[in-house]
Amino acid sequence: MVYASVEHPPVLGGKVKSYDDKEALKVRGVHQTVPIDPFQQAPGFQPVGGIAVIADNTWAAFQGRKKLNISWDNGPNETFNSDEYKNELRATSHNPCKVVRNIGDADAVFVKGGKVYEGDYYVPLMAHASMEPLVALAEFKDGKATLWAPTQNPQAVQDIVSKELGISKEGVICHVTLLGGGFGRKSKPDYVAEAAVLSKKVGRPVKVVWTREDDIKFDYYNAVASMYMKAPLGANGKPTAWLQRSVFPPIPSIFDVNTVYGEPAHLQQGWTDIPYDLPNLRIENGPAKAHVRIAWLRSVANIYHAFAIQCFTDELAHAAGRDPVDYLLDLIGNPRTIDFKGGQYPNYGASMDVYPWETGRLRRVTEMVAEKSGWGKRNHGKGTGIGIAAHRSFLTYVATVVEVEVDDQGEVRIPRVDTVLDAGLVVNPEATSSPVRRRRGIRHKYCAKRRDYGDQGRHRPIEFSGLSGGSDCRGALSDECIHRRW
Amino acid sequence: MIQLKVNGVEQSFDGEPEMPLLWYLRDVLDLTGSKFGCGAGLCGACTVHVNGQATRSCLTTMRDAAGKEVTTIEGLDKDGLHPVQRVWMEINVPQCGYCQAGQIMQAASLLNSKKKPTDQEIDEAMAGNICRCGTYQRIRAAIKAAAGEMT
Ligand code: FES
Ligand code: FES
Repeated sequence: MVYASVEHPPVLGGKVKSYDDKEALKVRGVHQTVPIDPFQQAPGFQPVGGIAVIADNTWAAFQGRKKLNISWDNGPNETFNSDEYKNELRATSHNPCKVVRNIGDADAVFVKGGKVYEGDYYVPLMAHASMEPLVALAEFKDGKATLWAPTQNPQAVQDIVSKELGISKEGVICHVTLLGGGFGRKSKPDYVAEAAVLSKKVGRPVKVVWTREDDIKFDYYNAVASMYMKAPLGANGKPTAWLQRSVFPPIPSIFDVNTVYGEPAHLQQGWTDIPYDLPNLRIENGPAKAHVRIAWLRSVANIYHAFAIQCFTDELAHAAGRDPVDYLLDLIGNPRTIDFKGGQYPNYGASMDVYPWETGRLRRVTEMVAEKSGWGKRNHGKGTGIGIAAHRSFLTYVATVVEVEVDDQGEVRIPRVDTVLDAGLVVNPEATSSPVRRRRGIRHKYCAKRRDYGDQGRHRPIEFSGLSGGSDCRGALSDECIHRRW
Repeated sequence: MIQLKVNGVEQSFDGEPEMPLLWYLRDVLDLTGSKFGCGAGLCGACTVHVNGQATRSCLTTMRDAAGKEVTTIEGLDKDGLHPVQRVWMEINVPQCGYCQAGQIMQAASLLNSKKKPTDQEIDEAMAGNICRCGTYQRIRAAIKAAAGEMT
């Protein structure tokens, strides 16, 4: 087996104009350098291309790579600049976009004038940053490829490797190793295809190791997104109309660069299914061209959609002089099943009959988290604030109360988080609670507890409370948390 | 020729003296328990003991390791049942597991020097070991439990 490290084009879609590997080949342990072709648009799961350094060990490959002298053609994304892009997305969101769901006539309310509240929300590109940087081992022999890789998607490995090597899918065997963290990144097997291509070119088993820098630079990022919100407030401070526009480069752009609108599968993620009981509601989505690879990262589009809707709700509550929990419950309205007639709502591929969108369940987690967190009962000192958010993501209803402290230096600390979630029947409580607990890289005493809500039907909410005093967790699994790490 | 001891076994190395110990362990000795997370001393995944001290093997050159005794996760206990490993299993600390060898080596070294570390001492000793899965609460609980077992 030999080890490989690949110098990828500095800009996605770039290619090698020429290169000189004289110095690289002088590094002790380096065997050879191997060019990898740039991908054909669209990128899909193809390798990004570049120059691979093949060596006796990983470190020699890294060292050799530093000595490469490459001249690049940066390709069509050369002038991409994330600050300008942010402004572009925001400008798009300030103008009429494609209507993806409509109730009543929001414009008719807006033209009546009066005080209208507006909000802009922005979420940057996010990298998965799995603990294990990407790595894959490939052996191409006798016309067949055998791979060992931490992958969330061995079928996609089979597919892309058979295409890249021009062999049948049956000729590709993928052994799935422990994942080393994935969060969605390792469902995109470009790095596995890279190892396969190199093994074929080198004629030996090749292990490709990405550096942390490669991992962050060549991620399939969670989409950058800009959201614009608009609502006038009427009696009781409730919105009389509600407009929301989201603009983000869509995931299918990795398969077709001309795709610029969000598709129902991602617009449903906390956007077209805003659960508020409003007489006039217009939901729009605007176009955005991708300049980096965009794809799935845990909870995907729910991240930016929930952020915008829940922040705007909180701001409206303050504008209306109302308690944010009361206000949120008021907007959610009475328990009912949301009817998506006339709109597209894929419901995460699940049946609407078996998994209806029930606002009563969202109310219940909201009420429960308010109660468990001591909402309205705790004293918050100077520099401390508390906020609530409620959301349905992948058929799970969740509400969270976060307490935040900001000191004189602007340092932010989160002393306490309470979360209640209703995921329906929980088959593996440990696998449910661990990932929820992970969100708490914070300094506080924390306790997780699961109760049997057998008398309340099939939905058993699970609550996770971060308790600074840490006293009322009788019989609970109690964990203590240590400092925020980043 | 560089001489060193790894998990009690004498080794000699005639390769590049600037090579980090991590890659010697992983690629030359095939001791893949020590992990690569950053190569820059920022994550702690590569933590081993050098003369009993928790050390980032990604920043320790072979030249620096010469004459030293290195212990990796494979050598912490021959049956994998060091007190820290035992409580780690009892408390079910790991999620993906990738950072855990480093966490365990760091924790074991802390408990060697401090029998009953306070919360603050635990936080300080463990601050350089990142866990992307967020297992920090259980790590701290496990260190406390192990401290009980080791006395
Ligand atoms: S790999 Fe050594 S500290 Fe990250
Ligand atoms: S258990 Fe996954 S990084 Fe720590």
